[in-house]
Amino acid sequence: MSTNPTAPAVRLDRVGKVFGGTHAVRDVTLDIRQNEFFSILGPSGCGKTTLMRMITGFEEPSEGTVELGGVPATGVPAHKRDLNMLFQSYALFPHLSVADNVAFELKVRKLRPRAQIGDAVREALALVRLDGYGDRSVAQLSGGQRQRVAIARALIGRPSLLLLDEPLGALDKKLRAEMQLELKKIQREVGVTFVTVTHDQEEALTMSDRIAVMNGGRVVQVDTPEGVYERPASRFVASFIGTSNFLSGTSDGRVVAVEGLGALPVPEGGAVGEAHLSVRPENVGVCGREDQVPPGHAALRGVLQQSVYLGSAVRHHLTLGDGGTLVAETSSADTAGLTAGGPAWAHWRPEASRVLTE
Amino acid sequence: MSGRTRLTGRLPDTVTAWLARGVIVFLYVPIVVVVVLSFNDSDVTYRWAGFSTRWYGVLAQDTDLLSALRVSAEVGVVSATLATAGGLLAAMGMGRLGPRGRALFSGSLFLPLVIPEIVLGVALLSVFGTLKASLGLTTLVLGHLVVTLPYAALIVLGAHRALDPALEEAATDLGCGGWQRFRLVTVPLLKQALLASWLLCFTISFGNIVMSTFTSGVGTTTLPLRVYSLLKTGLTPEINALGTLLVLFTFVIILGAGLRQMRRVLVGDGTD
Ligand SMILES: Nc1ncnc2c1ncn2[C@@H]1O[C@H](COP(=O)(O)OP(=O)(O)OP(=O)(O)O)[C@@H](O)[C@H]1O
Ligand SMILES: [Mg+2]
Repeated sequence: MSTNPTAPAVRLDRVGKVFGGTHAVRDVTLDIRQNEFFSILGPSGCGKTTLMRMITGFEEPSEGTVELGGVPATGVPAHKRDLNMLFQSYALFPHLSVADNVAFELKVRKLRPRAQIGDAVREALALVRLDGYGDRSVAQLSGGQRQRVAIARALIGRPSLLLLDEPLGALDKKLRAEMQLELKKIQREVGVTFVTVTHDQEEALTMSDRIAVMNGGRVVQVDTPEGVYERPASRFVASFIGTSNFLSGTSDGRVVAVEGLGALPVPEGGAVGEAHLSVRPENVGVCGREDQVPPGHAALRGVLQQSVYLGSAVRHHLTLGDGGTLVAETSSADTAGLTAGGPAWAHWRPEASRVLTE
Repeated sequence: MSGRTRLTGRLPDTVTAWLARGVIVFLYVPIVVVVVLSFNDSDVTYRWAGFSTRWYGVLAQDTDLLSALRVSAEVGVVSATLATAGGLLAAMGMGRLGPRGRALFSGSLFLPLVIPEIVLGVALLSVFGTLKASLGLTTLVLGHLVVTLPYAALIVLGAHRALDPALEEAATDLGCGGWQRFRLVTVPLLKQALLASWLLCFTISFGNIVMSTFTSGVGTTTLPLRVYSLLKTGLTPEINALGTLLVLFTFVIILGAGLRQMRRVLVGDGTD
């Protein structure tokens, strides 16, 4: 397949997939740029794997079209697509040695003369820091090593796109953190577009250039990690990525009036009408008296239920006047003058809050 | 006494061990007896009259028995190969069916397992009769296929189902078309199951009497049929000599390749 270097690596246009009458993926339109590290993030069952399988060609979309590098992929069988996939189970061939696994694509696609395959395999294994492991059998490797072999095998043919389905799902926490950085480094080194699927928001935030957040088969927001975190487009995104406090009320574009709590200033130019004010716990300060609230801050009076020491921060749970709760996280130094069961004021800069209509 | 500390209701380990030994002896004593009696210098199998290898000489001259052996070997090889190939095809085809078709297909594959062989034999004979097919090697092979195919399908389908479906997808992803994927990934991954299936089908075919009775023709008498008919005229140690050679042959095969794979597939004792 000849591809256009300036076209997006992947273009999905109103793509949908129906399984037995229900939509697993619905109306997804999105571009994945060349050489970016793109993540698809969403809760279990939201259609991430299905979306990815339509890009690889293992599933044909029921609706819409997929373009790869500017070329329509409709009808192009999976084995003819210029992309590779990293399977969640790694799918290493148990009957082949590490080197033969890695060399597999070169032999099948006849990408290199036989004499050069050995060098290419050594190079690919060096990329994933497994020099000298070529003669091992796959069964002799640890989980992390298997994954590295799978990465080497997927990258040896220099695909223009690598799709990774929950690449770190099977690893323990420490190895995960290591591999997150490693994957990012490999991606920069080889300059291949990476598309990963994950339901781990921290993983998506650490690794990605951009993130598509999915829910119920739809892509609900596409943005940079900072964008989806700081400027969530909906209540779902605000609560799925990190945690947020929500206060429901009516917005006039300058303040949100919350019944029973009063009017809270919000950033200018926000939505008007029924809305949710969303604010992250780490942006909320807590103090014991109203006169300690910094000028210009939105403030709410409540009762401090408890403060939990988290090491680097303290998390305060407040009960508000309308019976709802609000969570604030402050640095440990700010706890003076607060007692559990006593009155407390929660406050935040209006710019740190968001007005969400859905 | 350890009886007090072991109140789990299990047999003491020593008893279990002796039981196991007893079972092994029970299984292997007949084989030892056959081997010993094949060197018996007597005209009847059951009375010992001194050591001799003369029955091996008699066997070497017995064209009837040897041609029956040849028929059995040929039918065994052909039907084991066809049955195993059929099992592999069934496994491949199964993947393309929906859940309903799959249940129907595997049900019809395994049905012959629960139909008495004699019924199948009668049925097949009627079919051949209707088609006016003359009984011979072809009908014999077809008959044995009816018997062996379900076993082959059972083994190969089971092994294929146990494979991670991502393995075949990975092959496709790495550039394999259908045939390459089959040759480079599916078959190597199923190698042990295919071997086990072949050996089992060969053994079943080689020892089969009931189906052979219905489907063999003039000049295609199989070894079991021949031995069975000898039973009426009186067995000589020649049969023991033949039995000894077959046991030897089986041991060579099993020790050479089969045992580990066979156990792995049938018992699921996967060590890889
Ligand atoms: N082959 C299939 N046949 C029928 N339904 C399917 C099939 N594949 C997926 N689905 C359904 O489509 C929906 C989305 O599945 P998908 O595997 O894409 O989710 P996911 O986001 O990858 O979830 P997870 O995080 O658990 O892997 C699910 O409801 C699932 O049951
Ligand atoms: Mg998934």
